[in-house]
Amino acid sequence: MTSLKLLLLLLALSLCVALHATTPDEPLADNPEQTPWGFEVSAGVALGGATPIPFDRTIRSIRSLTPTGCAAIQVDALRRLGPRWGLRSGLRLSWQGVTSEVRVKNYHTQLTMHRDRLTGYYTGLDKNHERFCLLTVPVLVTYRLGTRWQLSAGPYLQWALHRRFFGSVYEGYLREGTPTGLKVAFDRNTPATYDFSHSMRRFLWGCEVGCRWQAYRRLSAFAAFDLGLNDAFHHSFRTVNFKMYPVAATLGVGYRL
Amino acid sequence: MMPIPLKSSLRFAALLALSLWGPASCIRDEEPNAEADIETATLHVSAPEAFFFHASDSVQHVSSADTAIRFDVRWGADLSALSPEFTLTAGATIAPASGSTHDFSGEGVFYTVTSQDGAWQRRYRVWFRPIRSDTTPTTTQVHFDFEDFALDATTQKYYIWNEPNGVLDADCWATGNPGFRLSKSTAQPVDYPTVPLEQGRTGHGVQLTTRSTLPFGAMVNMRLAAGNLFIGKFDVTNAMRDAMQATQFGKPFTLAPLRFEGWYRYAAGANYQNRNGVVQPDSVDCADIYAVFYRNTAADGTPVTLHGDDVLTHPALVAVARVQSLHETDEWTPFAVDFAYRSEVNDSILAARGYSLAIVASSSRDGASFCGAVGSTLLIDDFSVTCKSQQP
Repeated sequence: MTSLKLLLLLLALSLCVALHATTPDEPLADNPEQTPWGFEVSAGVALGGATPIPFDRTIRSIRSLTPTGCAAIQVDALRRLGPRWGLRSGLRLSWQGVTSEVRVKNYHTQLTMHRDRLTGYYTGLDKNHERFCLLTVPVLVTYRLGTRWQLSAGPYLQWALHRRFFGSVYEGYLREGTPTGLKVAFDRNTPATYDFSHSMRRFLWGCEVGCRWQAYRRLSAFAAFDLGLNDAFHHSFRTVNFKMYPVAATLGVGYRL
Repeated sequence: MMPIPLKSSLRFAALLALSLWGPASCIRDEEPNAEADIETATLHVSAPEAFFFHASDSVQHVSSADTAIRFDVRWGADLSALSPEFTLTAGATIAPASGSTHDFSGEGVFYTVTSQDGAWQRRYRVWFRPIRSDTTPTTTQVHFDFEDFALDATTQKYYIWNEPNGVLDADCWATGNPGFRLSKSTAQPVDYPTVPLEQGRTGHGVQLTTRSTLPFGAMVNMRLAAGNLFIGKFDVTNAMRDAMQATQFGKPFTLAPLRFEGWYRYAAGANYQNRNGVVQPDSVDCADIYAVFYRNTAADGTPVTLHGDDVLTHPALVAVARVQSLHETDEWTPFAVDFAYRSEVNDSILAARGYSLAIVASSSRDGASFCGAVGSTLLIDDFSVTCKSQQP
């Protein structure tokens, strides 16, 4: 948590300094963006996890949502294609995760272990922990708006170096087989725990949109938003009966080399 | 440097990120309820003490596993026009209506519950069983030979035992088999902890085996299931939440027991493990066989049921007969133990079904807390309870 705090403070500090140090429309002398090739290193805060899109109707409320991990470092290569257009690609390493507690009603699930299986409809609380360490390769088209603003968009490919998806269910019950089946109750003191980490895909892809604000000649602040376009779980995984897509937001500062 | 409240700023950022997807990710309208259960059945009568043995018998809490709801009533109670009332799962409807009047003097009345979403139905039989209490059983020896068993009608997955001796309810025997089924959907009937024994001491016996419930059992920290057979009810709904509460010991018994006898064979499994599945090299598994006799109604009229955690310690206990030395043996070995009384038996309470008897057999003494050795095997047969002869 200390390193995370430090990152956040660094980010805030640099944004602060940037905002006070320059006036918005003053052209930046000797802007490295004017050169055809460039390299940039970035660091920031990454927030994200896998989420159902749209929310399934069995999800009745989100009782808590706490991000964890939350750090990203990135190296990018830049190529200027014209006065406004360009390309940006690189490698981002991010650690992100989220802990959520949701209340579900009549949520269809199938637990499979070896050949044994328990299917049914669960009503109650579910506390879920997601943890990822992701290697992302975005390939973005960039577009300059004036001297300071730049927009970017494009696809990305992602490899999960580490992924965990685990949690517990409690204060609820499972109706076995059908909503009128045998009721099996779970208590907060005796929850049923689960770990579906190995049912998560390693290879993910999606699209990224972002914007960047050039504070100094070399220093910029950026925000990027990633939306996964393939299910975070393997096709054969039936326990979560709706698709979950990885989403992530990265906020950070970049430094042109 | 400006101060940043870390946690709230992270939350804010997370919510901001989620809100970007607001149109896609937000809580949608709740679907109508799909459940269709009777949760309680209540019969209001003007003089409950004359109609029921205990006033508390007028309310039945219906387990999700039950499709028959039975009220035990005094012999001669007028069943021709009764209006039982029901509470249902949210939004469900019932036909015929709750509180409608019907003649229950026959086989009972069937009710159909329909879920709020209209997609699911359950059918229940509600019936009344008149019980004679003016004549006491003539026998003083109650035998349990374990010959009457069958596959469970609903699931066809595991065996259940009936008791045809007429002194106790026919469905008085219960096992933990329904709980084991949840962890082992692929298990065959013979793979369950409690199974019929083809060659008992005489005819069939019962084989109780401590089985592993892995890998499912680890999810709920219940890694084994001891083979058990007991007089009472197994509440499978609470088997995961509170396993001790799931074993509800005892059925009404109108004789005063004096001596508990039977036959057994026992072999302890090799590796005794604690609840976390860790093998305890210095511990050896042992079996448990006992019978208890207790007052089943408290002074204020509330029903008393003994459970896994208090069956040998509850203040309602009147007499206990526990077999003390169940050593390993591969021969059929007899046991006999007297009921040790802690208080007097009141004959009028006895006749009014105010006492319950439980007989309990388990292949692992600590099986209720999920400690024991997988493979421990207890074979039982030919139990009997000798009772005090009643005054004519």
